[in-house]
Amino acid sequence: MLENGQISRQQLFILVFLFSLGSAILIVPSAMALTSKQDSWISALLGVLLGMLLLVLYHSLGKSFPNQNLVQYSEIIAGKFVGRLISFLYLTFFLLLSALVLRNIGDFMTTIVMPETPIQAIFILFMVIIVMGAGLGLEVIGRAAEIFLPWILLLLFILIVFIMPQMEMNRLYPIFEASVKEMIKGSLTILGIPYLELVIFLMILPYVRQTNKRGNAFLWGGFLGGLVLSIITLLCILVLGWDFTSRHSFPSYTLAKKIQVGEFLQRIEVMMAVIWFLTIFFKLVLCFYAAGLGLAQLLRMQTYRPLLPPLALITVVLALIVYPNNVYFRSFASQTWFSYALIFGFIIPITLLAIHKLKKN
Amino acid sequence: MWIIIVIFAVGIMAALQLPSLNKKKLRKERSVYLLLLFIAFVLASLESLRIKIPNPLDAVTIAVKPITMVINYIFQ
Repeated sequence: MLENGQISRQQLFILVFLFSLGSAILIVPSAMALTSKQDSWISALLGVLLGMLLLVLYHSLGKSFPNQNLVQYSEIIAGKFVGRLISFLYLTFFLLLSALVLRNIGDFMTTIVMPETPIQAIFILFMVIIVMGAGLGLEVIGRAAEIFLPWILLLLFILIVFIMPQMEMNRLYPIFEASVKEMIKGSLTILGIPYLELVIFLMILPYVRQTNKRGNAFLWGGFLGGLVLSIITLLCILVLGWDFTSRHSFPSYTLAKKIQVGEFLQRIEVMMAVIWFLTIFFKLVLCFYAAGLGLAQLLRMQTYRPLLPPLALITVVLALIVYPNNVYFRSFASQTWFSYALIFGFIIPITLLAIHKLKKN
Repeated sequence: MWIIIVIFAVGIMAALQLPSLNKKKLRKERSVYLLLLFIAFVLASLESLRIKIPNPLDAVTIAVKPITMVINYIFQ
């Protein structure tokens, strides 16, 4: 076995929750406000419901092979050659997703927090931590998530409570102005980031203790993560208005900027940025871990740890070249990403599950 | 300047990890490691010398174009 560590159900729950918040909390509100305007909170809730169906699909695929992960059972289901090809494609997906997530945090830092720092410096610092985390294994990642969760919850609570005085209900009206079509189109955003990306947990599910009850933790984590995303989207519309939300790259950060309680509690947005750092850290470390572990399993290696530093260097270069500019990023995130994630998050898993069920009968 | 950092980083990685891979006689692991390190080195050097590397997302965009078009058609 490459990974001897095991995580508990509670840790799985926390990891799914943090994974679904990471980077989505920065991107989703603005992308969604673009299509369904002031109704994007309804889109978000709709997307969460549709996303739960996806999680049920992943869970039932994972349940069929309780002790093996995606790379291992795709070979059993689809045969040696096709299975390995599928695994290889998934590895490219995981690595590319790592690069995109790294680029998100880099863009966030260089646009808003540290505009004069070269983006490479942020990438390198972040990747060093990621390589350390992924090298220590899943058990350590799980425990770190347990330690950081209270802080993230506290900061989210502060954000939501202190922004409440700034809300204006009339920004929400008219409700249901968007047609059903537009609402579904808006919900595709939250479906693409994070729900279709949660397919990564097919690499992690077998390392959860008490394999029979892990489904609940998985589904609840995804549900609560989606709910927080919906609340943040709603707050963005209530405080900033949909047009400002859709024009801004990181509306949830601007949201935190608006906090002003009395004349003394204001400009605490960098504290709030800790939410994004921590959630993005966990998302990135899981993507990167899945890529490293999967590559080692695909090539039947005895350890995945030596592969991590070269992979990290490749990820940094990828993160530098993926988005030549901000316009490219926005059109990719709103147009292409959903189709790309749909192949890996829906079409391949459901085909694998169908072949497995047919073979069994 | 970046090319110096790249050479330095790759050198440190190899110096730290190759001895332990050699000692444990992990032949396959070592060859995969060296291949990955070579790819990483080539990519990072090209990038640091400002030579344009093709963007993988362009390939992805072309590859999933049919699905994107269907989705855009459904939702106009």
